Amino acid sequence: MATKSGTGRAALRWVGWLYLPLIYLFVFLPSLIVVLMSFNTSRLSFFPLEGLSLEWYRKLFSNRMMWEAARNSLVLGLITMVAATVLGFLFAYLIVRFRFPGKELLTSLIMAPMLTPGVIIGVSLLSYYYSLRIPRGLGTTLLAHIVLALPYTALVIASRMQGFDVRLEEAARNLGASEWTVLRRITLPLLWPGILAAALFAFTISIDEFVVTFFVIGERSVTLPMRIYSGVRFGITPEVNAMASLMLVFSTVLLGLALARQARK
Amino acid sequence: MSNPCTGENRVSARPRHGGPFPMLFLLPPGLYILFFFVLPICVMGVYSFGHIDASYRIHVTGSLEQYLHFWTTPVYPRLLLKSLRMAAEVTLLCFLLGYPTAFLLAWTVGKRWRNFLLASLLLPSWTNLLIRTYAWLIVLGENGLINYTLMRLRLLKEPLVLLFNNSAVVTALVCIYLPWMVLPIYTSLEKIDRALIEAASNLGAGALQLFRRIIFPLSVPGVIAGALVVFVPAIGTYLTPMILGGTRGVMYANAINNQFQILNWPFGSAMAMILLAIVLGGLGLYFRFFRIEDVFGLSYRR
Repeated sequence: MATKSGTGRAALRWVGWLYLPLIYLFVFLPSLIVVLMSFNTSRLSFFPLEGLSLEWYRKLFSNRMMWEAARNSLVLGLITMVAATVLGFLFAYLIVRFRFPGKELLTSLIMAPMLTPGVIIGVSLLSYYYSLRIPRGLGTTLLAHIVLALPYTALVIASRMQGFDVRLEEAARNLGASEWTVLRRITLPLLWPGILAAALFAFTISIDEFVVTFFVIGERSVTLPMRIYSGVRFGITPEVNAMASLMLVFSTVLLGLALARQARK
Repeated sequence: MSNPCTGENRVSARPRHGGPFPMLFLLPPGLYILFFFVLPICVMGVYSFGHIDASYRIHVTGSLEQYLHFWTTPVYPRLLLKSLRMAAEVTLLCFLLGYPTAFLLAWTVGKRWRNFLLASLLLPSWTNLLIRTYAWLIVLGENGLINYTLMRLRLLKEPLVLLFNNSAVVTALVCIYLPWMVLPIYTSLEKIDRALIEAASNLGAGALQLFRRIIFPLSVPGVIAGALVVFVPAIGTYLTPMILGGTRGVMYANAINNQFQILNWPFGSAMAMILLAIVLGGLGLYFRFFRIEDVFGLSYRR
């Protein structure tokens, strides 16, 4: 299709111009609605809008509980990011560079949390913590987030690792570099984009996690999604919309920076 | 599947045989998964062979009573079927919408825009899942966006009832999971060697034939991966049905959650184990036909 006659290509491009905006509108619709409603004067999220104001943002900034939750989520997200990326890197290195018995079994085991419904991971961790008399809280939530993020980080780094020329490593080794030097001077720098992508993935997973967190966090601690959940159970409050809009802006900026960095290269 | 797009022509790592070195890489992630994924499921499995007494204490007796209760109470198997059907619907819709999206992104969008469009497709995942689900209340509600627009355009006199049924849940789930279908399909399409297409084209293949004989078969691993990452969370979702499904929208995962809330852990565990068995069985079947490395683009066995 790609190398077909010019008219076929042009027609395809037209289809793209018509179809892709519709899909993007569909995917973005809820987020756009949330941003719109965060400026709504009325407490009720209905159409038509009554008027526009920054009222809810002001309220949000004085909402202590929301900020505590945001801080917890940020800390969890950052630690998950580091831990899952390190573990994911170790595993990716293992499966791409070494051959050993039981490799396939191990791969499916590490990938398994990605392919297990969250509710099962949630209730099984709940049972586990309970049976070991471990009190639930942010720590238990962190452990769960790392399990959830690990398959993604391992996968992203492993696929990047396959893309690069292993002879570079061999050359360094032949020139007398130790395994550690090869890792530090050759492998890691070449893998850097994959590692960054994996870290971003892990952070995203942690910051948005609700399904498993719901079971493992207990009553005393709170993350942003949990806070939002208890807020919206009694009808959606515009403060929650404001918080969500801020998160969207934050992630857009982050994405913009990442893309700009890539474009510079 | 032998697959010309998974990288035979790339210079790729030749796996080495192990020594003591691999253990260094194996132990941390391996132990982590063992302690925080495998053992928890084992513990839950053990609980499912027990029962609770009047003070909600769990006694593990090794009996199969919870499983018997499950299969002899018609409402539970029916709920399971309903959830499976719903997850299948979501997956199919994501595929039907997502394949053309991935295809058009891979073949008609210039390289400069492609990364940007792909990355921005994931942006909504950064807005909390809960909030995105609630946003559908505002879109589909009685005074929501759709009803408001249609009534302002005088296409409607009475608002439509769009909420609290299965289609509301399916719509929201498709919106949430669509990007996760698009990405793997896109990746597999992008990997296709353009020379193959040129060759087929020079040999006289038409556009339709090209697609049917070359492009689609080579993108199947991506489709499989996409279907997996959509179907599995869809079957385990309890949040979206809870919010958008109304009373009729209760799903299997909601029932598991309920059992844990009312402290009947053994029965909840049994329900979770049954779901796990089905998912594992399905995956086992999948991977009889497709290698896990192909599906996830890991072609390390060379």
